[in-house]
Amino acid sequence: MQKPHKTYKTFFAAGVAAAIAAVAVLALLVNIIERKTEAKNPFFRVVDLDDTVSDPAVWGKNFPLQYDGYKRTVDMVRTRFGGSEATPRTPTQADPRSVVAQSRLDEDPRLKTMWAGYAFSKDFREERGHAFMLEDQTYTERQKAVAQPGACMSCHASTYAAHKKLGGGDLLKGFEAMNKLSYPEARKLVDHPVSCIDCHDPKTMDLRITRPAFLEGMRNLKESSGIKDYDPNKTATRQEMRSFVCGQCHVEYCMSSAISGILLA
Amino acid sequence: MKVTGRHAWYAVAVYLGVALGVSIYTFVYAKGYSYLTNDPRACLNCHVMKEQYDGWVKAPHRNVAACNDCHTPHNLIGKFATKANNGFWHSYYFTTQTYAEPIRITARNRRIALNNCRSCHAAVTDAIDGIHQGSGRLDCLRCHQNVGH
Repeated sequence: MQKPHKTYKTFFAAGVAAAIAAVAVLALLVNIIERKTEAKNPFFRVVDLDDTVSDPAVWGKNFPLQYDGYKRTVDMVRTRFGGSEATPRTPTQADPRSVVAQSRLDEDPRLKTMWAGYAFSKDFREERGHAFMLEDQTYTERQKAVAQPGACMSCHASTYAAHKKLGGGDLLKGFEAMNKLSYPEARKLVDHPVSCIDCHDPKTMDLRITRPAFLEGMRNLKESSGIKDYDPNKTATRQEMRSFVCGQCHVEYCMSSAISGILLA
Repeated sequence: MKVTGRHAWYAVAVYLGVALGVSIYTFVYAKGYSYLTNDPRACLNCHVMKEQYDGWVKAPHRNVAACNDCHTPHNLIGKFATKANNGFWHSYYFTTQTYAEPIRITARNRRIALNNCRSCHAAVTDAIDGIHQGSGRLDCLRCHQNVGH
């Protein structure tokens, strides 16, 4: 048996060590509880989103990280595949842009000859990020060369809410109505370049197709192989939807004045 | 009552017992045992991996490979050494919240993943490496970096 005063020292030291260990483990436990609580709410609902909100900044309040990624499409320096480089320009009354992408016509002047009589011979630049799609289409010199129709808006703006409103709730009717407008008239109905609402359901965040031309084109294509009433929003797999949402705009098309829509080529 | 050494050791036993009990509870609560398994949900214990997990669930590799099949070496010692190494640093940074988002793979872990591409897809990669004599520039992940998630 040890002497009492020595035992007390050991006993005291062991007590302090055990207390420190307990504090450390409890601190870790509380930290783990906090992290687990974070995981229960992957996003914090700041605003209520519905089918009329086109403004990506409003969606961005609920999804700040995704919104940051969306905003990175303004980048004209660190582009992954080269692409557009910022070219300064003097803003004018008609065209307030102070930065544009480099002109392909200046890079290869033969294009002006090859495309003579075609609007692209007046102005053809590298595409900039999604953030600029509406602005660049609004102010391109091509607008002056040829009167552009409202149909051009289909893939250069967030048209979902505008189509719905114009069609009185019917997407297809709104699309057909907008196609018939002149570009400046249609331009007044939209405010943003392609935005969250164009590919996401505001309630579930599921991917969805909002472009009537794509819905129509896919229905016709599937019908040719014997599938009736195909609707990607109902039957496409998630993996297909990941391509479809891009494909609803990134597609070859030809305009026909005989029909109201855009034909998928 | 006279306090004897025996009483003191009882007290120490109580201290240590409490500390041990708290530790065991924390281990179980944090699903510490799950890290010994091959279940991808173990990686999801930390919500920082949610994006990667969600991506994997919807990507083609989910049918043939779990996290460990690509991210740890295909031998027992290497596997658990990698798990221990990554497990420690992931826990450290996640607990202290001192990591930058988006998270990025380290050079070592990237090498492991690359070796595992070659391990499963040997028939294809051997043929490619053969012609090019295993050039260092042949890097599956340069083009196929999104293949897993």
